Amino acid sequence: MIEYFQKKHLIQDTRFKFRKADVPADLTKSVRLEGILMPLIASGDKEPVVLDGYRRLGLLEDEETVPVQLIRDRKAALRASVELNMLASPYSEMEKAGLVSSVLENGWMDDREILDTLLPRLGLKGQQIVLDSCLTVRLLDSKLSAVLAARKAPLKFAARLSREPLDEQSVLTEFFSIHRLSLSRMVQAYDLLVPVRKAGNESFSTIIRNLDEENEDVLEQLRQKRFRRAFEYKKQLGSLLGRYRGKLSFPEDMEGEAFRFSCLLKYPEDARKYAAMLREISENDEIFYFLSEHFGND
Amino acid sequence: MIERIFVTEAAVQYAYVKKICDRAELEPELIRDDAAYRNDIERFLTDPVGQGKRHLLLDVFRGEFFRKCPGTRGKVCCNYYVIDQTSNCPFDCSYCFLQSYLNLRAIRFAVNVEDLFRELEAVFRRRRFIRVGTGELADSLALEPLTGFGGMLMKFAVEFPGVVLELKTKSSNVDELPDVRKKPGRGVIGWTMEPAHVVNNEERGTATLEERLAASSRAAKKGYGIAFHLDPVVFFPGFEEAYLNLVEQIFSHHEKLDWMSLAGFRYEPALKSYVEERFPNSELLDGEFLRCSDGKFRYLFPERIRFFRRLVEKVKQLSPKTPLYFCMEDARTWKLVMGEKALTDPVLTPIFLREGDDEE
Repeated sequence: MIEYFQKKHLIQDTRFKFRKADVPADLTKSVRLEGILMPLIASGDKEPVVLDGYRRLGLLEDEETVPVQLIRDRKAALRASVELNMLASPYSEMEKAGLVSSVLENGWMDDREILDTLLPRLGLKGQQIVLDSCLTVRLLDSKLSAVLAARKAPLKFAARLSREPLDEQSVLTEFFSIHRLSLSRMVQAYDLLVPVRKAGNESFSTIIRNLDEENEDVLEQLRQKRFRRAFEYKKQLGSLLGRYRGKLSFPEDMEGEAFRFSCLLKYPEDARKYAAMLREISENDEIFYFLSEHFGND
Repeated sequence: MIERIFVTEAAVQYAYVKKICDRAELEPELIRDDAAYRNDIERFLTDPVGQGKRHLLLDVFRGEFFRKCPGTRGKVCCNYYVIDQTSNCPFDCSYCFLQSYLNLRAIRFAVNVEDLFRELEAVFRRRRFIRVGTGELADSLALEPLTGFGGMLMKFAVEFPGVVLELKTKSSNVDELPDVRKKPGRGVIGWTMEPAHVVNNEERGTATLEERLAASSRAAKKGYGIAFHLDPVVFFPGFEEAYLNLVEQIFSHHEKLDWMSLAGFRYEPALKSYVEERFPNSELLDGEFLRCSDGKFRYLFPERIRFFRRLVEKVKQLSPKTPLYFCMEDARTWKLVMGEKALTDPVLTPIFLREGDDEE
């Protein structure tokens, strides 16, 4: 049922403000020019509580009239609101987590209802572990949470980070922000930092402090810390290939045809060693097998 | 170990169900099918992998139980056949691929074992030699006190000459198994072995190293062949000495094994998050890994080769007649570790025998 209310007669409850992002410019422009066209969703009768549409409502004066879709049952209203939002402009993963946590913490739905009706509408699996992740994510440092939301980080990654102590979370926030890491580089960096921290029994801040500031490729630096022995092999390979410098565009051609055939013609022993070492440091097995076939298996 | 037993509507008529529930002293919970388990039970679990291991789902399996071990792309195949009657395992090991492989979290146990025996009889009668096991998707003896299935299967299989049935386990549940001396077929009990450090840190609910060794001696007395699987070999500080000591311990109990297999720890990318989330103290992922051609991550090649050489040398020195093979390694690794003739070594013939020509 669609009814028209003056803004001042609508009850606003901040607990239903699930959107964290700023109001998009085109939405602001549209509301300023045309008013609210798509009905808000509210529950209740004479004093409707707004469930959806806070951002648009915030752009109006108190006296202005807005269309409201009134749904008596609050749970049904919540479901309708989620469906509409996911269709029009899907929530970010962090917003979803916030929404689910609010619904649970305020007792608007029980676990089972959330699993059965809310999570699937949010595009999440209706499983307890997903619900738990939503709750865990609430423990995130607020700045880190904002960084993750801005990068559209998946819930799983946010949940992983939320298990870190708060001081480590702030170090990560700063690290991700200073180096302007994209989401995939953030994930890679974190995947590298965790084992380095464990191996050296040191904190993220110590590891990060010891990175070379002159070298902007922080991921490469972390990789070198994580994969020390693989980098040693790589160094050996570099010295083995030293005598080819100038003849090849080393190292770009390391896995290329040019080097493959140079080896075949000139230094078979080096080719064999090269192939064996290349196999350790590269994902490319092909050259190993190719050279093995040509030089035998000794 | 098992806290709840679920019985599907299809399985409820089988007498075997009652036997298992009586032994477990648990009241069965009737459910429509496995989908109902997923929807009504599994999705409410806070640790589906861990809690699912304490749920036994008794079901009826309508497909084929028997199949060739799939091996892995590009790696040497050891010509092994598997029986998939049970899937999943009550033991909880950080390195277990089942965590990311299975799509049902409960232990699924097919109670229509008569169908299985009929299928196996047709296969066993057709072949002169076959090596088969039940340990691909489950521990063969972990549930033995409840189901007695390993014993039933063994009793059946050893009546066929040429059949070698291996029950692979990390338990010590061998005492109820039948005596297989003077039987035409061969029964083998295989234990996955790890140094105590790995058992304590990476395995939950399994028998200790000493218990496994003691059980192997008891099994040998009943006429079973003994196999050990150093799989996965996990690199941790001091791992080399630990594994070499383990080999010594093994051969202080047995002069010769039916076979021994070796395999370095390897993992599919999907396993990583399970280890990180479920085993916070695990050392499994601390090593340096490289993604290989089959998509799995393995330890750096030279380090694997270097250690396998030491391990193989030790085994050869202590028990030269024990057939030794690699699981999930390519021909190149075999040759680098064991020499050019590794794959044609006559000592491997009894276990690698292929008999495609044998079918009538």
